[in-house]
Amino acid sequence: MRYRGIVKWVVYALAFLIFLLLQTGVLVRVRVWGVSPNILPVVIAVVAMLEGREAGAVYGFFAGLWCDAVIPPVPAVHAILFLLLGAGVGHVTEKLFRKNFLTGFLCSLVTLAAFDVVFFTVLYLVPGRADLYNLVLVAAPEIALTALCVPAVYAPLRGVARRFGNEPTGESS
Amino acid sequence: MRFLLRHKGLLAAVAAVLLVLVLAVVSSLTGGYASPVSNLLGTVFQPLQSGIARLSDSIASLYGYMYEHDALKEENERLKIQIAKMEEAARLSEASNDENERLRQLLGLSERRRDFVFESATITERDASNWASTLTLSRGSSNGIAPGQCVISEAGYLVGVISEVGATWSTVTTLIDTDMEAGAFIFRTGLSAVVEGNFDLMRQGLLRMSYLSKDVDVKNGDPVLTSGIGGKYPRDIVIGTVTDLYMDETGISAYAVIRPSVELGKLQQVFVIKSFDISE
Repeated sequence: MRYRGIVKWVVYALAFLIFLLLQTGVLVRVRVWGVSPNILPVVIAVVAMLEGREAGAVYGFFAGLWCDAVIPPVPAVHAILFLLLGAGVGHVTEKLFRKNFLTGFLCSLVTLAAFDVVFFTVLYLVPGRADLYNLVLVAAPEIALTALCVPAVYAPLRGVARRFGNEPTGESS
Repeated sequence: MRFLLRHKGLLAAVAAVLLVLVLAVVSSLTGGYASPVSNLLGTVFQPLQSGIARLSDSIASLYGYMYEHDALKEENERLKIQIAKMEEAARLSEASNDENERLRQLLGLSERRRDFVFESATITERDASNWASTLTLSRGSSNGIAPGQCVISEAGYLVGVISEVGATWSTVTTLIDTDMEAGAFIFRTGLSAVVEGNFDLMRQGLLRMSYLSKDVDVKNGDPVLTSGIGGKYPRDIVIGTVTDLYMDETGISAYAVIRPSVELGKLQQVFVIKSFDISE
């Protein structure tokens, strides 16, 4: 069981690396409505939903560290936000929702929206480099575009959870 | 027991947050050099990213080839160079002999700008975020790249400035990013101002020239070049051309919208100016 757990997290880590390569090497070239999809918060949300609060926080933290290293412009922001969002999604879905595609879909979009709002507020709104209208102009199409990518992210991650034993029970309170 | 676990989890989360904040502070104190963690992760990731970028470029080229004949592409490239030379010649005809000589030196950078020390680099990542305009290059501190160095295209157009450096990679903040600011002048009139990125204009691939007077003499198509003031950028690097003039938010001064001469989306190779002579 312990061996399966270790292999599961190695596979999750490799999956994140693949998604990161896809995001920075391929998806950034896909421009619709002036923006590209952002699947990285989706990965964090899905894993947090499938694995719970603590695991989601740890996974988000280390995934965020990697994002900070390869995605400009500001260090630390991804690690902190992904840690908090992973913990939040894991906590909410443990208590309130079934672990299925619909929950994963909604959590993904909420996670992306929360990430955009905090990121924009801290780096652009507060320093006066942009206003709320700019947030809507970028975040709204980004969320719409990313929504189309959620199934492609959810399916392999759920496959990992199923394969290595953490079958979503579908329980809710 | 659950309370202890929960408490430990909270402590671990706080420790993790403090750790990354320390790393961020370290990174900012080193003046643009990446923190040890970022440096390590970026160095490991960069070859993979480079491979994906080459694959994406190949696919994009294949896609383009399906719809364009080779001859048309070659003619297009030849015409672009010809247009750039003709634009340079047109500028020369408007200026004094001294300025003509200075402008001729903008072409053939390696021969005519002997004060420039270049390092060429390929682009391995572009615009990784919807909120900033950046490029990641295949060269880093091991190649003599340092934060604050100016980056230009092979045609001599301003691309941006090095903002973060790892051992084998570096990040360029492009000229349209909101963090970008440079001293510039309008070639035709010699009027000096500041060019800077703007969030609205960044999404359109444009930037603005600010702090112009209301009755400023600016025309559409006026070339804008770096002024060299401050010593951060070499003088006479082509930034772009004026497309529009507007009153700014205060109503007291005006700003011009600049279209960059460099096509950021099509860049594959750039040149980092590692050193240059500062013009007085």
